[in-house]
Amino acid sequence: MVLRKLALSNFRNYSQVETELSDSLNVIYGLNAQGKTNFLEAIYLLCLGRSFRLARSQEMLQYEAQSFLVNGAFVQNNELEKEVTLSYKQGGKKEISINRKRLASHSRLFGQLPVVIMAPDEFRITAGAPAERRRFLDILLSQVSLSYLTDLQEYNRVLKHRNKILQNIRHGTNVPDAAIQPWTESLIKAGSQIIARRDRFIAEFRHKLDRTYRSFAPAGAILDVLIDSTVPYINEGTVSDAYTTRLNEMHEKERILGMTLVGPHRDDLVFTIDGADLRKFGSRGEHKSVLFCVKMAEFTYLKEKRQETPIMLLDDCYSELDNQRERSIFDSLPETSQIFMTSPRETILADSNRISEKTASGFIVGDGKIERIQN
Amino acid sequence: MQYASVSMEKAISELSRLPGIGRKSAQRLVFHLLKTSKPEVQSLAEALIAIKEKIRSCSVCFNITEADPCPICKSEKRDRSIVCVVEEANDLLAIEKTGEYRGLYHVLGGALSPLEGIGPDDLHIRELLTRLNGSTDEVILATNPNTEGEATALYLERLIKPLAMRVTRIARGLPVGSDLEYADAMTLTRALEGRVTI
Repeated sequence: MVLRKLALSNFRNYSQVETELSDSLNVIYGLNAQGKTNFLEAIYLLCLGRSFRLARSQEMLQYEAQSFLVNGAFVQNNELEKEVTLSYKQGGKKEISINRKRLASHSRLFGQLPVVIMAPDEFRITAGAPAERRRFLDILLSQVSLSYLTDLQEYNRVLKHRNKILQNIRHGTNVPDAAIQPWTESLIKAGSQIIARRDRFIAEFRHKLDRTYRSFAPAGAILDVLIDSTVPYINEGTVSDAYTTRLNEMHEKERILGMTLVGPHRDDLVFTIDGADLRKFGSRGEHKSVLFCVKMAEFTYLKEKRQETPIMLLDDCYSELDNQRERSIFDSLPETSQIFMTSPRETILADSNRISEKTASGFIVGDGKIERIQN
Repeated sequence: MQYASVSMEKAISELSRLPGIGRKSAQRLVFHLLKTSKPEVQSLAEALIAIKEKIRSCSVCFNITEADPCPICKSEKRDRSIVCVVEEANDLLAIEKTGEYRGLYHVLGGALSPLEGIGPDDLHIRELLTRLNGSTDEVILATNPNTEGEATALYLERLIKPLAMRVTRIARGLPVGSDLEYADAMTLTRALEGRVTI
């Protein structure tokens, strides 16, 4: 899939811009705070209906503007065209349409336009709190499986209800077991699906991760990932029983603390290099390598599952292309995909042309404008 | 903005409090009513008052009715061995419109929702259990196919199963007369999950 054209109106620092894009490598250069990341944010927003910086719509609105609009012309691998428009009016809700047909729900966008982002913010995946890794899992799996998304939405809703009851109990309300039972059953039903789906995912994902890591890491080092779950997993058939058992064990504790203590909402991913926990022992360089492998594995996973080449967004990831490690990372970028890469370094275009097979198209952003560099 | 007449202003603000009616629609309605003859407006006003004065809920099934018990509960033609449990009276109307169902109903008055503070005691569940007796063969749980409706159905299932009667849940699937191609993916996923052997 490629993005051929992007138009922004009152989005972040852009008043009105429209630009044609290259199917191959797009290099976006600009000084700091000129809007390079905003440009990538707009693309990501069109693909997934949300900001990778976790920004609210209101924050993406240009200063003093009433509404913003982002429009992109995508062409899929099978040559089908998809024109996606996302608009937001102050005080309202985001509206998304594909080929001028409005989507009833934002989640319908998931999986249609696969995208992978690598940005400094993304270090929260390897270094941040467990919730960041669950977000990563959920966004990726929702793009691949619609039933995962519906189970997740159902699970989160049930969880809120169930927690409310547990809170009431904690505050002294007398609630008979029968009143919490249906919520526990719904929780186990949706939760077991999520656990099984995540486990199937990890089984595939760790191989992809390991393969990428081998290509540029020190010889013999092994990168692995596993799910640290509150529900012991053996196979799909045993999940709901194990879940029920664990919940029973936590019966008292849940009522004392007033919240649900067992389930996929407490899952975490643990990355290890040669068996050592990355979060505890990883150096900055190792975090960077692991994040890159995660992103590359995400790319191949999405591509295989969706039968569609994802767009790659690289926000300020290669500040020093002369650096050996960054170069080897750069060399292993997928050949066939459309890439958007930003850098504050003027020489980035020349550098990437020098070391990459791909012909790069350059853009300069500044002063709320995007200009294509003629070469 | 300011209207030339206080009565008009009041009518507009009252109407715009109704669901689905904004200020603009309310304004249109008021202008329309202004052009309508007085007897017609009178009869509209009386109809509105009547719904508050005459309509109450059936003491058996909690359907809206003018006579207690309601015509459905009283009817000799209905099959008294089946009770269909719904959340609201308009769900009952929807099923009644099919003309296919000949059993009785029970309106819960909502669904379980701890977040909104709605527990079993806030619904007509105790009344349902009192109603069910030896002559009931089947209870159909027709609560909405959403999170709260499902939990309510699960809750009721647990309560009713021990009473030795059949408990069924309405199926969820594709709307009839539509094209598979245009079905939204979530409905289609659920329909696939709920597939049946033929």
